[in-house]
Amino acid sequence: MHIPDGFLTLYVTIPAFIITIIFWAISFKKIKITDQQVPIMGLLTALFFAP
Amino acid sequence: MMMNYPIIGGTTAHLLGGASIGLIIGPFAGLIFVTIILVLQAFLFGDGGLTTLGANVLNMGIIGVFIPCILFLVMNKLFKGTGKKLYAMIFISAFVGDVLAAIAAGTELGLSTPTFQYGLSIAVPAMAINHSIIGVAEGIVTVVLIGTLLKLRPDVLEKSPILSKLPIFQNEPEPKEE
Repeated sequence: MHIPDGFLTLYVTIPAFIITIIFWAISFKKIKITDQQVPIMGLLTALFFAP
Repeated sequence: MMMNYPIIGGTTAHLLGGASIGLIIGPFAGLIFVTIILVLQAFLFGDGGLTTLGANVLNMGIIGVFIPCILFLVMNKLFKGTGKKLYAMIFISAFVGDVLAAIAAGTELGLSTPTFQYGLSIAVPAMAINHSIIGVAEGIVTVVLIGTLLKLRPDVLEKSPILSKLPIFQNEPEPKEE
């Protein structure tokens, strides 16, 4: 599902970037992680990097 | 997301994991972690790209994480998931999230016709049909992962913003000290 470089036109990439940046801003403000969840998040990120 | 299986239509399919990440640590944290994974893969492994990073995060990070979480919350309010119903809810939310992410990717590819050869009528069914098979695998993986955590370490899931809304965690009687 990873779309490589050069497959999309500017009319698609720019709106996608705008929507994504809005969601990034919301997420960085609203993210809440307790100390107990820090190892879990590293584990999950590493787990879903591979398959 | 690193192991890509080639599918019919010239693109690839892989497991997402967005549903598991979103359900265990919440959608906002999940978006950040999917972004980290995608940036690493784009820079180090040539999987994806810098100009299409926005589209990839939109597919896998926003649609693939937020839709399962919203769907799970709605189904939890409707059905009060316990036992087998809970596993069915997790499976359905993971499956729908995966297929919707694939449909979004197909739509983006189909809309950019001058650079991508095929239109919407070819790109969307090619992505959706093949990813509905991957979606079943995704659902099974998510059910196994969250089911194991629920049985062995429920204290880990107690603080997650999504799964703590389950009736298992809410009706727990607090020990009274006298």
